[in-house]
Amino acid sequence: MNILRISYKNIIAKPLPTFLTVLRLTLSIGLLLGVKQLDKVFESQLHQSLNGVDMVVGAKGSPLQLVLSTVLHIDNPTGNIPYNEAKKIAENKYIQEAIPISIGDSYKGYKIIGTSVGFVDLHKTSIEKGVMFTNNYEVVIGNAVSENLNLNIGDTFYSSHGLIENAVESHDEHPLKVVGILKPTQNVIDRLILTNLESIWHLHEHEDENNSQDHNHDDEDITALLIKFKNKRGLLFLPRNINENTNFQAALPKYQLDKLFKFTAIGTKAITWIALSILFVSGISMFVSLYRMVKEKAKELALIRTYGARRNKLILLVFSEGLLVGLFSFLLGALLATFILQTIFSLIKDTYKQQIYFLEYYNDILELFLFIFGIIIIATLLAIRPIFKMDISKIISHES
Amino acid sequence: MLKTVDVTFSYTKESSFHFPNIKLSSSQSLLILGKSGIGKTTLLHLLAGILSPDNGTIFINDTNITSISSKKLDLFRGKQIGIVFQNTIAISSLTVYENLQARLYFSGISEQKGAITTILEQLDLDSVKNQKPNTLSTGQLQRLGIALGVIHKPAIILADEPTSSLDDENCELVIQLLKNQAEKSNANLIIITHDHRIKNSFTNTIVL
Repeated sequence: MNILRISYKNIIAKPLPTFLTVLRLTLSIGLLLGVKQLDKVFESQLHQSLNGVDMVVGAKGSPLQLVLSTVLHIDNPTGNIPYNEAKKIAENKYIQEAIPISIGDSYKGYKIIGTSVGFVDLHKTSIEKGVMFTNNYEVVIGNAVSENLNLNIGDTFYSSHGLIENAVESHDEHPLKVVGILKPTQNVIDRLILTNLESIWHLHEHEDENNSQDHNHDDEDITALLIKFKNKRGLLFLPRNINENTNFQAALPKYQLDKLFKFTAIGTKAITWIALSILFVSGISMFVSLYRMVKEKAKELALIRTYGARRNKLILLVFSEGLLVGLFSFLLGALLATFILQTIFSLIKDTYKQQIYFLEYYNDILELFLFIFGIIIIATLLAIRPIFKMDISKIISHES
Repeated sequence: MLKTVDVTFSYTKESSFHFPNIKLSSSQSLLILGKSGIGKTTLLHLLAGILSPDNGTIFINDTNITSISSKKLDLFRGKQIGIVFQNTIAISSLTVYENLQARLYFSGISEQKGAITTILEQLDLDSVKNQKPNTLSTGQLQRLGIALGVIHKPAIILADEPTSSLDDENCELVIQLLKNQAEKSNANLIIITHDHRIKNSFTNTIVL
């Protein structure tokens, strides 16, 4: 026999109130953990994907769409721009590097990007197996592409026109050959297929000859230029200059993504506040439950004092009851959050071919545990007040 | 062994109890008779160390319980004193067996192998050992109260109105059980009651 066992017996002796307290605590803990983790992962993924791109220059349209399509590769591009004119922008004195990209084809849902070798450096990765593309129709594939499509060096495939998984219009005159596989980055490049710009142009030239009505692309069109500035001054002058004096659109990824994040953060904050409110109610219900236990079981607590137990044993009894309920709820909440997060991450992997990992999850769990522990201590401290005022003689006299 | 000297106690300035001196040698029994409101329960709580007297001394086995620290008094009460209440109080979420385990645990006494089973058999409670107190009959509950008062083999057993709600037959049975248990533990038995039916069962009697 010990305090924890007695507390456990006390808890299971009142199943309905215990169930309701556990349910409220579990839901709030699960929500708080889940939302915090999603928030962290989402923000981290967005910022990681910027990879130092200060500005994107593309066709006019929605700046957010331009950033999403050319930096995060999760939307359709706003259109194409002539490469010759884009190259003139790249010569600007404020620009350190300008990487052209051409988007429009895919293979089994993975986007094929026509670009330069600088695109790989920009994403801070390198070749894991094979070599970088040098000739037309050679491709280097991201690590997730290799893994998910079981593609290896020397394999060939035909690209499809369009960005959807089941695109039916394929460029079946020129197979693309895998010559390299990139190291994994847990970044967007893992799920891209890279080739040189010329390959994309040649594929489309050939198609245009056969089916000119469907494909009117200029040979030397690109989707966008990904730009890194030499210094902050470029950020001050270039975007406005391009937007006002050219037919192109300049979008700042960090600004656009921060705007997007602020927008989504409203929902995150709302859910967090709801979870905190439930947690607050759970804390109160835990206090009420413990307080009622102290009041309703006053004669039993007085009896325990006549057994020789000191007041601190009674306090421990109340605390351990709160602790058991809190710990059990915490465990359930953490399991619930982990299960839901894993399901969401798995869905994201299936849908966007992007592997997502938990970020500082154990820290979040520890932080929340300490928070819950604090709530248990506060609930106990408030509930044990009658123990200090307990008049054993009076309580027992009323019973005997 | 129990000895009280000039014990007084007051709840208010106006009313004060002055109790007669008590002197009991080892394993002696005592019946304290008195009407309601005369201070019987107060005396029991003073002897149990639940209340502190305004004046006087109480010795139990050479320990002056009126002069020791509250911590030592709690420990002393847990080990040396057993209280049997008129209406048995037990921990409602625990079974009969677990209540006896809890009694020993809170007194800081390690459970001797078979001790609980023995007392349950002696008091005819072994068939209900896994039941909770609220499922017991009045007689079973009364016997559980006795078991809780004696399981730790105290030096003194204090029984507060143990027979007042019982019929004659059960009244005699409970007194006999208390006497038997006190004898087994070599303990002093003090019964405080207004029930004159048990007067003849005791040689030592104090009327308040």
